[in-house]
Amino acid sequence: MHEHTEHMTDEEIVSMALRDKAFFGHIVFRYEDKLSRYVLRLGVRNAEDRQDVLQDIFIKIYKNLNGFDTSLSFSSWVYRIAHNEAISAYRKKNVRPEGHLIDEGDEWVARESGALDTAEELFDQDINAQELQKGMTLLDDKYRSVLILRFFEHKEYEEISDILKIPTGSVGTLIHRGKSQLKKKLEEEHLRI
Amino acid sequence: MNKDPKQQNTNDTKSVLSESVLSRITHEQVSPMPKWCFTCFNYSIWVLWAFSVLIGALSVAVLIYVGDHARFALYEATHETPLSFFVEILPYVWIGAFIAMSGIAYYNMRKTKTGYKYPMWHILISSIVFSLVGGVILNLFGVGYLIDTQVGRHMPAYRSLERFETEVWQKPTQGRLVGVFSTMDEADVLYMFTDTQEQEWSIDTIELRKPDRELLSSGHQVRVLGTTTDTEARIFHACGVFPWMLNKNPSVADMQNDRKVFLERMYEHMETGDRLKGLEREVFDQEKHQMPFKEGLCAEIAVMKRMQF
Repeated sequence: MHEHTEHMTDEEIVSMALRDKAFFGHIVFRYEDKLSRYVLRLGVRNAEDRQDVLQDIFIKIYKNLNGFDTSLSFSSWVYRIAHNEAISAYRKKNVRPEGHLIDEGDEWVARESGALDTAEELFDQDINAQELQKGMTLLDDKYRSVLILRFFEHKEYEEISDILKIPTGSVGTLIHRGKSQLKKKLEEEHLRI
Repeated sequence: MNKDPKQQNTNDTKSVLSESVLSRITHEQVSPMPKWCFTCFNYSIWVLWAFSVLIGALSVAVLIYVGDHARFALYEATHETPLSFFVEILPYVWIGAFIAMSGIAYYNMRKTKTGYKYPMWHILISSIVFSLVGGVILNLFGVGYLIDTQVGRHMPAYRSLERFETEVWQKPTQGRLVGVFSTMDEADVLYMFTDTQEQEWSIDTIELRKPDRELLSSGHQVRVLGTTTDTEARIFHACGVFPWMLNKNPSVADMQNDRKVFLERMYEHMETGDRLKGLEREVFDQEKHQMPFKEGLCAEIAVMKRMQF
């Protein structure tokens, strides 16, 4: 079944999943890693909690399959649900998110620092992963979300607009302000990246 | 068999999650919500948006009607300043309703599928513009008048323009009366007049001009400006008679004419008063301070003090 669906689009698998729920497993396969990382970055650090949140996300996706807005990409729609679930999950716990942005070793860190550099020339080449992580947790939620999606999930402005349900123009503004706030927080905390 | 352990672990995790999700779907009997639920939800958002725009438009229609029909022409007769008149006449309920509905329309528009794509001001302005245009159109069909009048007649707490004008003009102690001529008195001198509280008044018309007397005796509802000379006997000394215009749709020309007549009357009274004071000084003993003429009373009413000729 996996091989048959390998070259199918998300939308095709969705229409099959609506007829046979077994096909929904392929949606889970495709998005599990991405969403797990995203949820982790948004602040759900505990592995068990994260598994619960992921389950809830996929159940919600399944329940709402008929409501998938075909004017969006399926990925954006899935991220939108994941975002809302992750946010409400850590709000339920009433703790400030402890984003775990960097978890895959130096190679990954270097890649991310490169993304930030090329995007806006914000950071030095010699990025300090721990301090960047700490700085990100100090940001306002609205800036954190948009910076995570842009620089860690590599989403385009249009996709971020669809995921966070904000105007595309506001995405640019939030990224700009988020970076300014990040820079300020890093300076205030005497952090260096 | 010789898979990388890390990769193997990842696949295991994937299997666990997908299986647990599918298992939960089966055990909890989760099924996708029917498409019609989403369709209904999407339509209901638009219906709510349209409803809030409609209520906003109705508010605008009433605002236009009140703004158009408020009797600014005679504001000196009822208020100290134009500002105090303006503050009192503003239909705060409808202004509040319009603001609230614009907010609700904005909120609903944002909840539509693509509402989030547009900037806040764009959505807000478009909702306001829809309400404004709708309000102008509704007012053209007399909806503003209909709502204001009907709500005023059925809700005692609501102060319609009609009620406002009636309250402001039904104040005999402050020199204002509104009502209808009924008959002449027995001596055929005083005009008998029934006000909106069904009280009979004797109107002294000695200082009125012929057109005013004709208007008074026409049998139409009129406003009479003057002063109460005998509260118990209910004798009212008239200084000007003006048509009650809320039973029709007065044009700008009507309003301008109303103002013109009002200013003319007041100016004449001022001249009469000055002339009689001069005569008094020339003819009568200086020790007599009481003006012996009935005429000239209009020159002393409160409105004359507010007017600056």
